[in-house]
Amino acid sequence: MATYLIRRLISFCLTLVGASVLIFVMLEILPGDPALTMLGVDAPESAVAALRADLGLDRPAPERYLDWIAGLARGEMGLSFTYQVPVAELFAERLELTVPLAFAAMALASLLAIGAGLYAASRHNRAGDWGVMTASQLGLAIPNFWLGILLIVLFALVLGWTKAGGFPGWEAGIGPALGALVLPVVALAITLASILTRVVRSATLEVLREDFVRTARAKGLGRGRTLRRHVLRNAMIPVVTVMGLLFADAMAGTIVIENVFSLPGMGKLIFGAISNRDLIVVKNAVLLLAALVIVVNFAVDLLYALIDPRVRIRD
Amino acid sequence: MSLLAVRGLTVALPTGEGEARALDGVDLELAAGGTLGIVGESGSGKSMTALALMGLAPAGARIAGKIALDGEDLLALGEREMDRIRGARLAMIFQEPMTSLNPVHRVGQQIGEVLALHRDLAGGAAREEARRLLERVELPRPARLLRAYPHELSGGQRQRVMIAMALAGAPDLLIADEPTTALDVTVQERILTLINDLVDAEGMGLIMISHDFGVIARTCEAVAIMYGGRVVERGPVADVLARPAHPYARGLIEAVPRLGRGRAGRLATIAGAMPALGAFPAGCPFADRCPQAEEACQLQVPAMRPLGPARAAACHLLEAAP
Amino acid sequence: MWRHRAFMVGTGLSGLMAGAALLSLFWTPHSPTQIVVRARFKPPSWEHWLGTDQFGRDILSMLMAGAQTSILVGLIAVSLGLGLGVALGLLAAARRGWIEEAVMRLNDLTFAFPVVLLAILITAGWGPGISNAILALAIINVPIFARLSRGAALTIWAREFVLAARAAGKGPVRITAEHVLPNIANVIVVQATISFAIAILAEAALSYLGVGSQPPDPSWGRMLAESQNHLFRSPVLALWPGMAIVLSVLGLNLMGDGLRDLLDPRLGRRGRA
Repeated sequence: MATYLIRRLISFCLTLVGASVLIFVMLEILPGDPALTMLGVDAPESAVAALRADLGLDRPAPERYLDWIAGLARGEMGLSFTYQVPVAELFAERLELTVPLAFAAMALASLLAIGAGLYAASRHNRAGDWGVMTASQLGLAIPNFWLGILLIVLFALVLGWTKAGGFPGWEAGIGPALGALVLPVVALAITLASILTRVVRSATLEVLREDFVRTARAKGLGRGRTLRRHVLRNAMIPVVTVMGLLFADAMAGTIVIENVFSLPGMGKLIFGAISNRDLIVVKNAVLLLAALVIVVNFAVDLLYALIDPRVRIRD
Repeated sequence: MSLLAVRGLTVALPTGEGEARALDGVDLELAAGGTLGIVGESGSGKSMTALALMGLAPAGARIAGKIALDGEDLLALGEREMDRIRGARLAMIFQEPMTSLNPVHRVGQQIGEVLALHRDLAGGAAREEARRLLERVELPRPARLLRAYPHELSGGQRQRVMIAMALAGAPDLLIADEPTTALDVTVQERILTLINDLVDAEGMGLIMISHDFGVIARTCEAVAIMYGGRVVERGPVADVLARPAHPYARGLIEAVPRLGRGRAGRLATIAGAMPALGAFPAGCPFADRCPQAEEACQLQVPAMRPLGPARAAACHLLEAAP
Repeated sequence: MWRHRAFMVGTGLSGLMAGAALLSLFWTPHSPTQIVVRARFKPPSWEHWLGTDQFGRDILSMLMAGAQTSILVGLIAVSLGLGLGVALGLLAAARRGWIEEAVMRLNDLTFAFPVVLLAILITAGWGPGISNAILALAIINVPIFARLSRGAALTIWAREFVLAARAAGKGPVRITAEHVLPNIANVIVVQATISFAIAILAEAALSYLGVGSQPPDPSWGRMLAESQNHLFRSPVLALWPGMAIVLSVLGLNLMGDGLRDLLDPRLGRRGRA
């Protein structure tokens, strides 16, 4: 158990460092001069020089990278170039929307996928199975942002039940705030659920063939109870791993869907920052999102040890 | 009335082209507290018989005939009623102790499940009973074992846990499907002794399924020999061992070194291999491999002929007993 | 049985998309880029089968030209990712050691960077454009193909005929070319089909976000972005490009699933008979 944890922890830290190096190289080294990128090629030489000095770009890259990481360790991400406010403050506001959105989408997708996947597996090769698989094949092909637009057309334009987008903020009360998130969450969850349903189904089919399932039936457990008590938890072992990997898709999807529904989250902030060439916001935002994905996957590794007692010894 | 009476049990499995009979008109009889061995090669239908008795034949199988447990026809029962019988009046242990226990549940939970389901025991009472059961199957330090996961146990220990789970419902009949095949020889011996002792002490019936006549001889009074989904010979174990009537029975017995008479040290085996399901000859299922087969054997299925008290065999070449 | 039918449907849909793209190289009913102010928001008619958009452009022509963009992006991105990824994977399998370790670590890293995030990085550094979208997609595909081909190649390396070839004194390059690559080609082809479908989805998303293909190049994703400004006036504008995406992706996915069944040597009897 301890070695398993230590190995996961080391890999977790390495991945975090790797992600930050990748971001730094992609934004500050490969494109050339960040100051020029931020101000544009037409900017006067004096302004570029001033910004270069301001950002400390005259120093060597490794030193700048270490400065950035040291700042992050102190909780400082620097000032946004466009807004001239601390980046951390900008993020705090946006994360209040983005994080709940991504997690809610994952939760809904997991719920849908476990239900549909178990159902399909229990109807293996029959009409119900075929129906679920066809629906998931279709769900895989539908882009989440198009589904978002279709939901807006249906629920906002045709039925008039909701607004076409926007977010009143959590201070407007939990009801209106959640109401504004229902359609985005659904649009995000469908794609994720389509992938996950297939995983749940095939994992369940695999477990159903195991000897201990026959033992459970021989003990007198009914079909339903066998499925819930003996099949589900064993099937969850591969499913949880895929859920962790899917969280990256949920995060990416959230960035896209915020633009569909005009939600003031990290996605909106990042695309604004790209058009304003605000590298400082982009750099820290991308790292933050990547770190979130890495943390979730680390948590999944820990969860894995909880679900499968064999892991605690095996590694 | 006998504990178990099986009449004309037939299980047809769907195949690529229509159906194939995995079991064809199987008759079995077992008195309360009696012990019956079912012996045959793999593919003979012995495991399918066990699964059919438990009501766990594969999905899509078509089942005909009658399985009477204490006079009640199990094939007429619904799914729920069968759930109440499985684990309570009928219990089963399997060939693979390594994979027959759920890897993510503790031993105590897995035994407790039977106690909760069939004996309404929960909490401390269930724990105490589970501990007693582990003691009953002669596992050391039972209190600690209750909290162990299956992967922490050896194969022999796991099979003992399986037996404890089977005993938990206090069944009238225990079905053991090759319970020692996957185990080391020394462990095999001890498990068989344990099963013998438990059957005697609890007064439950036993159906022991094995490809090994030696195992049957160690544990059972009566034996049914199966081939190609049919019972081809039955009788008291000692009688059948001493005077096997069916050519297949002779072949099986000669294949057991310790018990085979004559030619010690040389292992006689039956020529050829059991055909695949659905590929048996039209007549006697054994005709293709039988050293004495005649023309009639290829054409007509032999019926069971009585060969004296409690003995019968299905072979065209036998003279019926007077 | 239904798998076979699904494969036919998939191939048909993919063929339809490829055909539309090919045809649009020579001919479209109207110009996909020309603005005709008089013809704004026209409903479907004999003149414009699917109607016109807010600039009076013919939707059908735009969809056909958009297929070109999707295929181009998918083809280049998957080819690049496949070429580099398979090369790395084969190298890792043939040499093991630190090369293999490095390839696998790289793979660990990229799971945290979905293509949208990577495209954001590239766009922020170099500015938006279709070539940067292609680059992001290609980079994402490298570890996918590397991991896949390494795993598949390792099983081939353990087979008897490879041992025999090694005993005969053949070097790793020859063994890779003669034995390993031909035997893992099927899994690579299947993954290429799936990756192509994902690339089409990603290109649409990036173009929708404004970091993919730029005006006036026709693109399904940007058509959707533009349609969103006119949802009240003409909601059907949002329908057609979305349908085009769904049908193309569905077609490629079904084709990939079917290929998997047909090419799998263990299940392949059905396919070859």
